[in-house]
Amino acid sequence: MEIELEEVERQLRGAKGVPSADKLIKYLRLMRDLHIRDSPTVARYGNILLRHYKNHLSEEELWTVYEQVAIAALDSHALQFAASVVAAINRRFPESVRAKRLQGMYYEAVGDYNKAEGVYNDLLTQDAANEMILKRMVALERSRGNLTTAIDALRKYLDTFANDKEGWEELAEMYLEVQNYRQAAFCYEELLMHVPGNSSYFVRYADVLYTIGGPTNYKTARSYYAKAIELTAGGSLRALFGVLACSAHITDKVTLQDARSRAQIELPDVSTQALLRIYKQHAPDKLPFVEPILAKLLSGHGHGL
Amino acid sequence: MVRVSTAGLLTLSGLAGLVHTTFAVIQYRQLLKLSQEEFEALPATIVLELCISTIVALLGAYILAGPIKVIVMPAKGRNMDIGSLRTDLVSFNMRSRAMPLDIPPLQPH
Repeated sequence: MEIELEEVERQLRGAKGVPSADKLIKYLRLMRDLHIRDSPTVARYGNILLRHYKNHLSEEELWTVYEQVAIAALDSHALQFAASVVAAINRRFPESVRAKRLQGMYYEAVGDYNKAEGVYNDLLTQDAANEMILKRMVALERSRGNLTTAIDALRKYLDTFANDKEGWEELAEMYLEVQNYRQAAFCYEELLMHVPGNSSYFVRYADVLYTIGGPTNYKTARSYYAKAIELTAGGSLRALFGVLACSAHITDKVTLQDARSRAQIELPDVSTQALLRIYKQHAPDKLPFVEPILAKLLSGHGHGL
Repeated sequence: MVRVSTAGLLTLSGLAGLVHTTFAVIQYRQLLKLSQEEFEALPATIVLELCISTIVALLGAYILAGPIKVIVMPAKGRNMDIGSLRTDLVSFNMRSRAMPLDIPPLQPH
């Protein structure tokens, strides 16, 4: 899907004049499915789609696109445009909790947190266990800057709704912001259990372990980076760098006994070769900067990094 | 001349056997109706033919599918930006406040 997205993005950027409807629809659909946060682009392309090509969309997809564009507009602070989109949605779905939530999000974006809280409290009186609104309360606290309150609220939410992947990701990010690395590592462990095939969770978990430090953590982080490399068929640059960084900190002498220790000794060299190959292919002008760093990581073994 | 592999032959013969068992059962039940006997159980020959045809057809289909293919992963690191927009928990108190995007509002129609 990422490759499709890159392809359609390139086509849209290269289009002369107004881009075609199906490319815009495809771009917005891929951004929805992949949950990538590129709000200015989504807002601009969504604006073109909603202004000129509304009749190309089915009723269901049209209003999904409206919601997507509204959130992107709020995220890029295109407030007048966002207000018009949110108003259109509220006109179409006057009794919908999702529509009222968008209204609350608009107040949040404007900075009127008390009014947003009012909207959410009204919705919570109707349904006290509405997950969407409970999550908006967490986001509201975070926007206000009360990170500890937000963390407590999100923990309480996750006690009830432990399957919410988004919630765990957000909690991990918040813990990282307050530098509580052990709890962030716990959140990533939960995420790894939920989606064991997602290579970015492996990389992030290994990043946290590497940050906490200590010999066991370096070894564990190295194995998680290695798994991420396996899952992405050698394409994850962060994982390749991570393997080198961890190996630089592991100073145990490993004897050439079995295949596993031989692999440990060869791993930094193989990662370096892979990195150099990728840089040569995609960014050859950066090669002179990267080569000395890699040489230092290979030989450093704890010094310098 | 159509070239049929052994696996194809196996599958075809297995399927043919299954079709034949169907007809055999229909014939058997007609026979029972004629001789006014109760239908209790299928004769052992038909059941045996059914089992053998099933196994032959399955074997043929399995071999016909060919060797198991390796899962081809596109050689691309999974983009770390994927999943970064958590719509339910998104906070708008970020740098876009200082760099608002200028898009004119939609006209209602």
